[in-house]
Amino acid sequence: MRNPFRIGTAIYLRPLEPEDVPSLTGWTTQPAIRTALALFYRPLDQSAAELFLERTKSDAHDIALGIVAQETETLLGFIGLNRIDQENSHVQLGFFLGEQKEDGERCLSEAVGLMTRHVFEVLSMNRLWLHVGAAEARTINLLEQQGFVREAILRQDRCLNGRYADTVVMGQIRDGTGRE
Amino acid sequence: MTGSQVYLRPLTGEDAATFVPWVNDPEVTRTLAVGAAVMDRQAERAWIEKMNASGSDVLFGIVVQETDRLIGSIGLNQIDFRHRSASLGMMIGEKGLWGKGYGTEATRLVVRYAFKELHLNRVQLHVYEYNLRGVRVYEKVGFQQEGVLRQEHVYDGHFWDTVVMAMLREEWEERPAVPASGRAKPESPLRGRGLG
Repeated sequence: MRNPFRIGTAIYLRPLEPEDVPSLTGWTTQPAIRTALALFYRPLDQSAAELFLERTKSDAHDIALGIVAQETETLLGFIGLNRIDQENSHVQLGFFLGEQKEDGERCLSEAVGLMTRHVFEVLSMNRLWLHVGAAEARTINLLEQQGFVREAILRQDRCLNGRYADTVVMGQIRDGTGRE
Repeated sequence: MTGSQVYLRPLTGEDAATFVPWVNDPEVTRTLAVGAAVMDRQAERAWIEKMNASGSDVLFGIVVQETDRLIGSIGLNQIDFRHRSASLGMMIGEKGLWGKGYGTEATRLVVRYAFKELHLNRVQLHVYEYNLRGVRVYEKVGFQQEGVLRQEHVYDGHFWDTVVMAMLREEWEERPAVPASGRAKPESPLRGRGLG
């Protein structure tokens, strides 16, 4: 393992490095990833990807980590925290898997669990939340298994491929009410 | 933009002095997303000028027609022309003028601006759970509750939920025409500064 930040059983999380840029540019050209994230709608070339990584590292309100398979040392995807709000004690979670893997959901689930514990146990935040496309049923299910609750449906919140789509706001609270 | 009781005009740096007492008054700011920052005239002027220079925000002053008095502000933040959405925020700073229907009329004017002039599809806003009068005002204008963000806001040493409300273009188009002055119930201030 190289520079592990959090260690699970199948994966670990590590800081992103310049050599991760080709993975980022490659993944963000995949239509499924762009649709799921409603992000990266413009092509991300190497310099833009370098800038993206640099910004996430220099911004005190962001944390970006790579999800890496322990067995093969393969970078599978990214997971991060955005918009850390100390005053209201909440932070936004974001992630995606770029490498299609048989046990991808298990790896992602483990990464979400590691990050959730980091938010509540290390950062001592009160609330972790994220936006998910309403059509991303598997992701929503994965998050519910990790203790997240559907809190709101933002109707026609995003325009994808010429059609409006809903967004689900999912949240988890420190005191565990999300697991009820 | 002109209604029957108020009109909306651009704000300038010169208006900062009028806003400073309002944005430091806890009774006014308890429903706003301004946080704990102390605002002096320079900071308020900088905020107005930043909004005016922004390509993703629009800010208006709310002025009572009869007296030509500036009583607050209303605007659209995080205007996203790709997804055709924006967040609405409003503040009535003059506490003695709460409950006169000025905020409701200003909201109707800005919603119309969002759908008709900016051609947006969705206008959303956040209201703290203790701002029940605010929720009623926005429901009256036509906003629908979409959910509750649990413990999203800290105020007075406690966590509070935030209500997400939104109106879609199709809902606005289907609403019957409402006289701009058709209300007189009390309301509370709400002002968005990067809500969302």
